[in-house]
Amino acid sequence: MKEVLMGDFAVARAVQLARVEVISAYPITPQTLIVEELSEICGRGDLDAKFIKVESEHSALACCMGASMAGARTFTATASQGLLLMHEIMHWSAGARTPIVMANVNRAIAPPWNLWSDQTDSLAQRDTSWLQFYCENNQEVLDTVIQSFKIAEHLLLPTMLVLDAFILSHTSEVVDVPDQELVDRFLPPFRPDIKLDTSDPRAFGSITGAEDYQKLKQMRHEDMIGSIDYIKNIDNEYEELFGRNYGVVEPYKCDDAEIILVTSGTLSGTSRNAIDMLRDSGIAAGSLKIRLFRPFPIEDIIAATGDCKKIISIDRNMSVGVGGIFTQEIKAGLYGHEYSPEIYEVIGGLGGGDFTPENTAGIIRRGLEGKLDSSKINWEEL
Amino acid sequence: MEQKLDYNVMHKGHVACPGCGAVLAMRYVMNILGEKTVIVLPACCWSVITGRYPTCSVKVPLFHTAFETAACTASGVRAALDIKGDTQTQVLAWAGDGGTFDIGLQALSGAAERNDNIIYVCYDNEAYMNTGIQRSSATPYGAWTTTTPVEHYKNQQKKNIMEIMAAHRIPYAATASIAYPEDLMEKVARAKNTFGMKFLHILCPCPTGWKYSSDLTVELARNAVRCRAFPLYEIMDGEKYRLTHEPEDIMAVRDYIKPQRRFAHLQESEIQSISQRVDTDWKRLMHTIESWPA
Amino acid sequence: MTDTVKKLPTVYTTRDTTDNKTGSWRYLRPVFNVKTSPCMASCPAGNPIVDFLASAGKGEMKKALEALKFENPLPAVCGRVCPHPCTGVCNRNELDEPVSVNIVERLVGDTEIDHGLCLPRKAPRAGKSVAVIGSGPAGLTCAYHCALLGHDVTIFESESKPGGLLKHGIPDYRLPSEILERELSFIKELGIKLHTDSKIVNSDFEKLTAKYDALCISTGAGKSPGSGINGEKLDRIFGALDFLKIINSGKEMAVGKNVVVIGGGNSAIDAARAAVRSKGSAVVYYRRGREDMPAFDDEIQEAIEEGVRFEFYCAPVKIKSSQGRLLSVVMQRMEPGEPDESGRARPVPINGSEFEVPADSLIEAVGANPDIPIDEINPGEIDDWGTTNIEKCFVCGDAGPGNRTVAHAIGSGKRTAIAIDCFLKGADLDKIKSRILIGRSGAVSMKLYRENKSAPDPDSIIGIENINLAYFKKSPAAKPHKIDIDSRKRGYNEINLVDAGDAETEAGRCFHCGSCNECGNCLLFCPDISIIERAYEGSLTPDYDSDYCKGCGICARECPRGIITMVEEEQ
Repeated sequence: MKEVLMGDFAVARAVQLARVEVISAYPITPQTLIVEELSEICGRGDLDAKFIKVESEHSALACCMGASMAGARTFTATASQGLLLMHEIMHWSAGARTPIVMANVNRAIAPPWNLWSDQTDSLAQRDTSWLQFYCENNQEVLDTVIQSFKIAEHLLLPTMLVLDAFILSHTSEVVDVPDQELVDRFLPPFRPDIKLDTSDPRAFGSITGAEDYQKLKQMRHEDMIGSIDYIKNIDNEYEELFGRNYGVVEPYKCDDAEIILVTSGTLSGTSRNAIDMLRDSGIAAGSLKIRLFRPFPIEDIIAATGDCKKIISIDRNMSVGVGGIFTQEIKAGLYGHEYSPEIYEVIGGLGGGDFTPENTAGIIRRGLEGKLDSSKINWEEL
Repeated sequence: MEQKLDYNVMHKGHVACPGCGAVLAMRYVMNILGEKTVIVLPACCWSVITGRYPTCSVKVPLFHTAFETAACTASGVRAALDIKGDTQTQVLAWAGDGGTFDIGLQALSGAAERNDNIIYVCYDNEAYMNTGIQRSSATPYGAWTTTTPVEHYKNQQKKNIMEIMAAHRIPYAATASIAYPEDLMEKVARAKNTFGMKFLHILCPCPTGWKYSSDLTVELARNAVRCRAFPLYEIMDGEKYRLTHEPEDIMAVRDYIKPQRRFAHLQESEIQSISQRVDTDWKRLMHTIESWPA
Repeated sequence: MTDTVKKLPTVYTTRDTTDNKTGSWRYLRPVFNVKTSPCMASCPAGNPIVDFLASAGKGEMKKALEALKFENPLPAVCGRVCPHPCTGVCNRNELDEPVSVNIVERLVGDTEIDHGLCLPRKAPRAGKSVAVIGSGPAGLTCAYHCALLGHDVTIFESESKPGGLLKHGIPDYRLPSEILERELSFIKELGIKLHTDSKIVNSDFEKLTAKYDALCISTGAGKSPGSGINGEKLDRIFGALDFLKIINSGKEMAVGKNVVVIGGGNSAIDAARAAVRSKGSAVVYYRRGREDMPAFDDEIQEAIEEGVRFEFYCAPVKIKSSQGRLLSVVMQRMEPGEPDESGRARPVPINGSEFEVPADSLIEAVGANPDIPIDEINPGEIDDWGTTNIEKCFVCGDAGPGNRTVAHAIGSGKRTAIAIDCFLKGADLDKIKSRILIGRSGAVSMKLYRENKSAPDPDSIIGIENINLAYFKKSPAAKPHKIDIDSRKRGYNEINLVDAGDAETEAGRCFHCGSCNECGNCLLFCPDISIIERAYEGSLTPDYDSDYCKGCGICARECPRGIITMVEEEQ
């Protein structure tokens, strides 16, 4: 059924449809609507879940971890500083192999105070062994929440989906909310074999020596790297039931493109408009949306870009001292590969700067005109 | 045997130091809680005592969690069990003094305020023993630790965690001692039969950190009670107080302190002031008990 | 979907820790050893004090009685007349008051009133015969144990009733005759032949040795050393034992108004108190001081309560009489001189200090000598075990050397029974002695003898430093209450009464020094789950698990009764 939903509400509706059993969260702008709406849903009895309103994000995630260890489907949501406070438990919950699903509303990190979009909060969690999906619109947000539970619970790895502050969280869009029955068919209940269980008592996370520690980490890595095909399968399965799929990357008019713009999140939609504008003026440009950040789908990126010689990567985030984080990942992934395009690194929109089709098309034009420098960061002032 | 434990939660071969009081505390608590219990364990001595992967010295499911998250992780486990209809299994958060008085206090406060249905035990050995005897806010005044060397021994009082818990109006909070297993186990039984947040503060002498001969663990725990430095009492709903053990022969605080070489540097005047502090705290507690009887 | 992601991440544990043998950390190990309690080490009769108190403390009176009767045929008697050295050495003195062992013993003995005579199991008949001459406490005990050890026993008693000193020497107010008679019913029950009015004299010796495989001479010390007073033979001058024998026979005695008693032992006190009951006014004259009196303190105190007066440092020198009637005794004052071989000051007469005291009766209680009817026995060659210079002849009790209390007589009778048994069975007594000795006082355990076990190290006597007083709460000791003073002066009813209900509580005050009563502390306080209960001959005895015990020593520290000691581990 089609509904008009803000991104935060799309998250909440998806959590309801996923029949989450334990929710624990702490309010932070611009995620607040998610916890408010989930409180309403649980309060109405539309979702039979325990919602533990904790005193901090750190406790929220620890609470989810405990619940997940005991075999419950768990969910939390946060943003920005809250996510940073969770950092320790992000590592812990991944090491404990708890398939928690989290929605993170990308928001800039203080100081100075800034409530608007910026991906650095979630990208700063890239080494925590969490899967990360970056969503483009509210439909994708809802669908990704549902998909995330299936993926996380299969891999026994926690999964985060990311939506841009305000641009999605507080923006109403038409969203096709699937039937509960169909969701139930797609997403069976969470029934882990091994959990905190008095009939099969075990200790989880006991001290190890180096050999076991590294082995476990390696296993975690292999599980995650090996999951890309699984994620694609799930996406296909989802399409069969719901008529929508997203892929791990989404190329747009890349086949004959002279230049390809690589983006993530809401910027991907904007960039497709920009590509259409450029194509109308006879410029062979394409765009590539990266939806899955962890594991990083470099092979899919290479396949999608074909033999295009120029790539512009826009980052609404940065690792100070290096540059845009997506760009670094792409560059690192291509190192030693026979495919070696010119890569222009653009950083812009930090703290909420607004990308429009026009200024985005302008960036591509400058790339074609040789006005972007591939040896340094090209700062885009919006 | 008269005082045999009905349920032995532990396997032999655990790696606690010889004479570890914290192991005794676990054995007594679990004797009452029984095998239908899930333990949540933050960083503390017990993180090691459980044994090295893939072995475990306890017979119930146990989750090692981050230092400051005992209470909230336990809340999560509780929620999961409840939503699955298992209200019988007990959830035990088992934390040291550092994980309770210091780094875990926020999460503990949160769980207490929410009145989550868990049992939180702080086994108090009065310093960060696992990391090598650093001071915590549970370290008593005057004690040496590796971060309060004798030249600058700890010159702050021990935090009164029980009053903090009482201020949360939780249904049940109690102090207990490994030297009084019967009293301890009665309190655990009371906690088990109480719905909501339960807090037990168990003094567990540590031969390594308190610097005494390992055979004295129980004796020192007993002497702490006998000299009134560690009174045994309980608080219901934060407002009904009851002394559960009235020491018969009051021991001098000096005699309690003496075998503990962590206090060896103290001058007579300093011992006197510790003794006065103990008296004041005792009077204050007695006044509270009289004013707010159970 | 790859195979990798199907694998479960192995972050959970799969085994317990028992492969980790933490015993290798240990440099001290606990040793669990039963040790000797000071009471047992002090008990001349070798009573199993800790055992019977343990049972009585649990309300198991029959079990307590069985334990007592295994060693001692006369607990109800012993509990009344023994000066109970056990209480003097009781470790409980350090906490509050000693355990009134004698009261519990008496009450346990008296439970035979309820459930009848209790006897230990008898050994199979050995086919040997023993003659016991004299049926005082030593002879009775020897006869009892010899019978229990499977021998055919015959008692020869010169008087018309058995009991010896118990029957004739101790007044009813201390030991009611029905108590004695009840306990003596073992004679019949064990099939012991009793010949009363059968005085054995030297000429009977050959006949007896021919007929019996062993002889036990337990004829006591009834031979008067003779009066030291210059005077004629008069009425109303008695030896104390003769006087008490008349009193105990129930005859009325006219002692007159002034009764002079000479002596400082229990017989002197008993005679004086009997004189009071015969409406006399008794004064005890003793040649030394109060502190030198061999009589029991309790008895002296009771005598004073009953109006007996004492004069110290006085000795009689002369009797004055008229027409065969005693008139007075001339006394001389003494003063303490140099110590004699007993360590007490030798009384030295003060010249010119004579004084005269009126006397209607004079009772001399100045000690008695062993009375052995067989001339061939050399008194100097009688040892602690009753063996003599004649192979098949044994001597026990007051007839032999050693202290003369009922408890000592019982201990002596038991030792002699063991010596006789060894002799009759051809066993080497010397090899057995050290195994069955309790402490260093000479008391032995019949249980150890019969069950072929060994006593704890006799020097390992538990002192207060081995007791963990934290486990004991202060509680007052049970005390006897006395009947009123007028009734006491008028008759021979038992003076000291005790409440049957005190037995359990009083026994419960026992620390069980050195003896495991399965309190469970070691199990409870072991952090390493390394105390194991080992079934040991019917009872559980703790031991340690060498594989895991880290040697912390908490068990030893928390054992309330000093059974566990930490010793250095051999490398």
